[in-house]
Amino acid sequence: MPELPQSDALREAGSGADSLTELMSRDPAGLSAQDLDRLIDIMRGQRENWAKMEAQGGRQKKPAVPTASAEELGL
Amino acid sequence: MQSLEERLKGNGSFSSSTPGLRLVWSGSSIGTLKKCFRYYELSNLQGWSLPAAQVDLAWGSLVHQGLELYYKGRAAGFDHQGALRSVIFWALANTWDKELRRAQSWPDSKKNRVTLIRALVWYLDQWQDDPLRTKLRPDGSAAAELPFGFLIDHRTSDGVNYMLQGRLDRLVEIQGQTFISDFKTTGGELSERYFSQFSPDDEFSLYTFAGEVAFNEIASGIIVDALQVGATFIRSQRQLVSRSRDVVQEWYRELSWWLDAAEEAARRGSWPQNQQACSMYRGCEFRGVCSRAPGARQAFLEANFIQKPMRAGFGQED
Repeated sequence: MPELPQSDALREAGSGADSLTELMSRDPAGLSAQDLDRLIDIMRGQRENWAKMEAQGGRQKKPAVPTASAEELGL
Repeated sequence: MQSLEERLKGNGSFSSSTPGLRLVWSGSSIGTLKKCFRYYELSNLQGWSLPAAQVDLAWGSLVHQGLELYYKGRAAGFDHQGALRSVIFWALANTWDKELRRAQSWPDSKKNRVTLIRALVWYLDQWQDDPLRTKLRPDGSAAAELPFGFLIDHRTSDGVNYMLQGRLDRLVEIQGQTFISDFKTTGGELSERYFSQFSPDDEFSLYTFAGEVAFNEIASGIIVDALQVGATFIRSQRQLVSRSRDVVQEWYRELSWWLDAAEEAARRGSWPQNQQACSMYRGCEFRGVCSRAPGARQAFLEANFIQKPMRAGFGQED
């Protein structure tokens, strides 16, 4: 059975959420410029996913590629 | 229970001869007074608010401070990524509990540490090539988060001039015209109804008035940058709110009537309810207080609300 087209994106979103959790749980004093750029990129990825979902007219639906909420991240 | 006199003792924003008479007014305190005198007494004079309102205030303040840092960074020569990186670092550091060595806990699905970082990145990325150019102050710094305060002609019956104070988010320029840019966050939809709340509106009338009096800038209007904050998204919309000089002059003329009414209420020590306002603005948060018998209100307030300490003097937002 062929894989659902959204599964890659979901995997990416999942790994993004893991990185986000890890970065957000670290003492900011220890974050490098690269860490901050990675955090910014994760947020940009969420924005792209959200924009795609909005463009598909899914405002009332759950996003196909969810952006992680603070609760989901345990923050 | 602390009396109003004790609470306001030594506070330069209030009359020393008439307890409860505010001498320094902001757009927020004027709007609160006009909504309902009792609401003004409970929220502004006594400082009661719902715990959730404290979260909204703290979160909104962090976004404002982050944006100020960004505009100042850009004015100082940082590119978008460099300025944004500084803002994100600042936001993370300011929401980190150094004692517990962990991120601060925010008990709100929409206003928390993750949504703060998301709001700053999404909003600043969206407007990185902003057609609105932040004006520069004479010293070359960005005209962002500009505090103002000035005396007006109107006086108390004791002859003390009232003062108006506040803070402009940003003075911007586009096509040779100056505008005041104001940033708002909301948990609700960015509908026409949302934007219609700003006309008329005391805060925006005061800002336009202050632009001219305090900064010598005649603003063509106010550009509202509204940010809808959800648990998993941010949506931003920009809209122009016009304020003609006639409208501002009318607002200023009528302000003296309200200041006189506030003085009368303070002299009587009585701030009456406006029961027609109880259902407005999605319902007044003090409805549960006012609907109780007078003798039961204090206990209800103490059980359900938080009392903020009074911040003294000019420059302190109320």
